[in-house]
Amino acid sequence: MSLRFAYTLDPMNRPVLSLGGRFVRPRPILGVTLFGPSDARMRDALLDTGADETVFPEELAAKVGVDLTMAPSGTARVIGHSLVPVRYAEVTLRITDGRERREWVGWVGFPSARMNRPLLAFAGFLQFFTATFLGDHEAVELTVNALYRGK
Amino acid sequence: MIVNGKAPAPPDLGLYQQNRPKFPREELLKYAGRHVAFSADGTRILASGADMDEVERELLAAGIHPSQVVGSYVPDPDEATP
Repeated sequence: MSLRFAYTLDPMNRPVLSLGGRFVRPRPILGVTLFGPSDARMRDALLDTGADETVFPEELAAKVGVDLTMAPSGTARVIGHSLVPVRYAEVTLRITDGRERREWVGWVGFPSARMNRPLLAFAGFLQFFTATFLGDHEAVELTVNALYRGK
Repeated sequence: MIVNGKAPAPPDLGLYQQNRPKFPREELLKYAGRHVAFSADGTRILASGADMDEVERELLAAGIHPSQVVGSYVPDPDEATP
């Protein structure tokens, strides 16, 4: 079994020459549910094979009850692949395509830098899946691998 | 709404994943550069704002708990990064 997610079409106001004049840019964006100690939030997040860490905006941590006061910290290449400081916490993530659901506990980063979209990177996300990007179908398939320890 | 002091469980996103990619481009363009809250089935935008804090304030004013929607961002077509 694998989860299959159709790409989201981000609107453009001019034709994209390299895409045959389309007025959209297809991007591998999927809805993710993040569970903290007291609450949960669902966010559209971008699958980004070039980012180091799975990251969500820092303001989200407080909303779900994650206390970052004493959290371990580090740096990671995330937003626009620039190096930013992040604080880490273990949270539960859930994804589903309507046929299959996966839920696991993993480390995610919360950068203080402004970010518009959460990123699903190798650490905390892609490390647990075999990802197949289907360019012709504008979809991505995720199959859990041997590292996956969730439900 | 918050019931007995506990936040409601977030809904399943199966329908969201089917409907969200089909959301009309023209409708999305109205929110370019803004944060939005999609309904859990991915068919409607329920609130928008300059950031997610503003979106959540709008949701709460409408009696919708923020855990029941999908927060998203509609990029400005002229922005450099997604």
